[in-house]
Amino acid sequence: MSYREDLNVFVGGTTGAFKGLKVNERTCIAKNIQSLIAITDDQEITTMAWGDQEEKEILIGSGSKGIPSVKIYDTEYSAFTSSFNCDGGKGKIKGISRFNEAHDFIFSAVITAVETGHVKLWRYNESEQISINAGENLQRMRHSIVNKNIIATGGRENALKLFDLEKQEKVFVEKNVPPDICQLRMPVWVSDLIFLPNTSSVVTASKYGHVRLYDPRSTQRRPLINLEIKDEALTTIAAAHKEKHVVVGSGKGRMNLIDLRNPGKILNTYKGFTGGVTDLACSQLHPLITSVSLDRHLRIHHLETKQLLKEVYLVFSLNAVLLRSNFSLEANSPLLEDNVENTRPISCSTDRSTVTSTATENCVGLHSDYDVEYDEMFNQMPVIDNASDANVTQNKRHYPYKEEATVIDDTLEYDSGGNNKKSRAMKKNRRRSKVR
Amino acid sequence: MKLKNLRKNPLKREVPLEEETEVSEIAPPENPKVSLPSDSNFNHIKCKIVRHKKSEQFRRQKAKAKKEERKKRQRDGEPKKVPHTIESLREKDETTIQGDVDAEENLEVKVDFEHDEFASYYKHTYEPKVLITYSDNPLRKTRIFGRELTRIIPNSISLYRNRSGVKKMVKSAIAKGFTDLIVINENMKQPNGMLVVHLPDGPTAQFKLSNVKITPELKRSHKEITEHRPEVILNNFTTRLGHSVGRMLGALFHYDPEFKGRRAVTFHNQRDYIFFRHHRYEFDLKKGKAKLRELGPRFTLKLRSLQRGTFDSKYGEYEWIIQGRRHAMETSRRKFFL
Repeated sequence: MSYREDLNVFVGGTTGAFKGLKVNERTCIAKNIQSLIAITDDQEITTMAWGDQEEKEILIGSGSKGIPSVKIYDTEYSAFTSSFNCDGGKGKIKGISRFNEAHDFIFSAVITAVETGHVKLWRYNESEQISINAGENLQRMRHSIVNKNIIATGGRENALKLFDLEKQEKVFVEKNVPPDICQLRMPVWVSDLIFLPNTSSVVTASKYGHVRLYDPRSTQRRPLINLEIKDEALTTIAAAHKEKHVVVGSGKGRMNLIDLRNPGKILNTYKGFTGGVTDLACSQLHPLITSVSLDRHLRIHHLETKQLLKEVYLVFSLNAVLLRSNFSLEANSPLLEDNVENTRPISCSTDRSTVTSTATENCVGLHSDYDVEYDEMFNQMPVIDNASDANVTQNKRHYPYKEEATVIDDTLEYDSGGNNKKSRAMKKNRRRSKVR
Repeated sequence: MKLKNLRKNPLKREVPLEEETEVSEIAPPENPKVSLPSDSNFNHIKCKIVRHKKSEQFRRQKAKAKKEERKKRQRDGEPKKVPHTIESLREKDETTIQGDVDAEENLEVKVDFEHDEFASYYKHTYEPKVLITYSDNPLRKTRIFGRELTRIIPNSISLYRNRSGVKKMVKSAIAKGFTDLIVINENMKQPNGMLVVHLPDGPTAQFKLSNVKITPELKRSHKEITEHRPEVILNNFTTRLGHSVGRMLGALFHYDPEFKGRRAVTFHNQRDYIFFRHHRYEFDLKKGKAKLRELGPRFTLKLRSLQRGTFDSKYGEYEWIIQGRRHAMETSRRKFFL
């Protein structure tokens, strides 16, 4: 079985537990990846991130009091491949990411940000390590998806800042909102932030209940949109499967969908929490929101209908969640399985022949494979007529999201190669040339 | 005109049912249901006195039959049935910890316990030192209650708050080496709230405090309470949340009780209410049972919220909170959280 098919949700706990889950519509299998006996004190997992585009490795930041450490877990071989101590800076790791440099394919660097504000780029060559000071009480560091050189940081009395890693300088600093009617300064406490997908704009969530949208490219340094959820200390934010929409979670266990199109609006509230939401992840293909909370449950809500689709008790109180991009509640759809079977032998062979296979090699291999597979897929596709259309509408009545899933399934096919848009465009071109 | 009648086709010819009718005439059904007058309903009797007499007679007969049946069951040695109570019909909670914590299926829970905030207490690495304080300007009953708590919890002192904030108190208590902080709140001269903060890094539990009876109200004297360290009994905490709360309350007391003092402190959970009682026991060898003498005080706690980290009600992260979602959480009378 391919690694992409096996476990599709990963969670990290406050006591150091690291679990992989296989969630389906009906079943849910949880597996302890970190051996329980090996857990020692002060191993709290504070943050997790995917290490690469293919979602093979997971970067884990752990430790809460002493010197934090970074572990790298490989989902393909299901093993921890490396770990290192993150000296320089104390406290929890508040953000972690992989940084691929243009000149260095083999040893890509890891970026870590700790509470004391030390943002460090861990290169293989120790002399080349870069360190940036982002200010005390850092709460979150995130890496831009669009521009790989940009990172954003923010924290308690630590305004949103954007850094360019290549030039090692500040690119953007937010300007605080104007003082209130008593001419008192508005306090800042950025608890989480995200880059909106396919744009350069940043959204921050604050402990004072504000959700703010910034655009670093514009001349305005103050937020373009400033929303407030009263009496809720927001802890986490994630981009929803909808343009310019985000989902926020609060420390009292409230989760909301927020529309950031002008003038901005608070939309759905999702129910079922008994404790604070600690981390959120949204599926890229389906309207699903996965959340973990301190009440030791993982919950999956439907974005539109607000329905609680799944609730899993995971024994440990949870801090972080990671979702595969092909995550869905559908049990293995036949199209997906085909795809995996085709891709597997090639990806395996490249990996085994050269241990230090670069990412580019892999991509080439995959693309050549896709051409055949793409045609095959078209041959396999059923011809849609009015009768089958009627079936689809019948389904709609029972499971609103099921119908969506059937429609989206063919886009799933494209996506597993990694870069969604590019590959689609490439294939279109190829198709055209064949026709000619 | 009724719809039923309209549905009939007036032009339809009636089919003769001769055969069937004949059969029914010859052989009536084997078990005809004859409706006999009910022997338990006397409403049809018009004379009030007779009616009353009859019904009383019937009631007595029924009770007698029931008693006889029970006696018969006892004689035959049939097993007793468990009565249906709200607790025995409790809604299942998936977080309930079944069996012993050391059992193999509870390995995850055990690991969780080993690395939570109370792990160092249960490994006996420190002796608890508790600070008990009040809301501003506590009145008589609250002050007495706080002072009585210092007699129950070993190595604890009670101090007035002097208008300090909880966050400030937490800071200074950590600096002075306290391991727990208890704040008793008061309303209308009655203690009504209790905040327990585990130091140095949480958690924080907030309880509703009710039915407080201090020793004079129980007609006891505080002089009866000895200085020995008491035994702690944590009863009926079943779910994962219940265990967290139980561990928190247990960690207020010294882990090494002095059995010589024969003092026992009980936190008994029943339907999410935690009942506190304080007893001195004595073994009665003749009866084979322990004699109990309640020393007081007694009170009842109900969990309002459990928060991660030290006190920060506004910006903290809650592990469990009921405020604002009681309709969503209290879905049935048989749902309990502890």
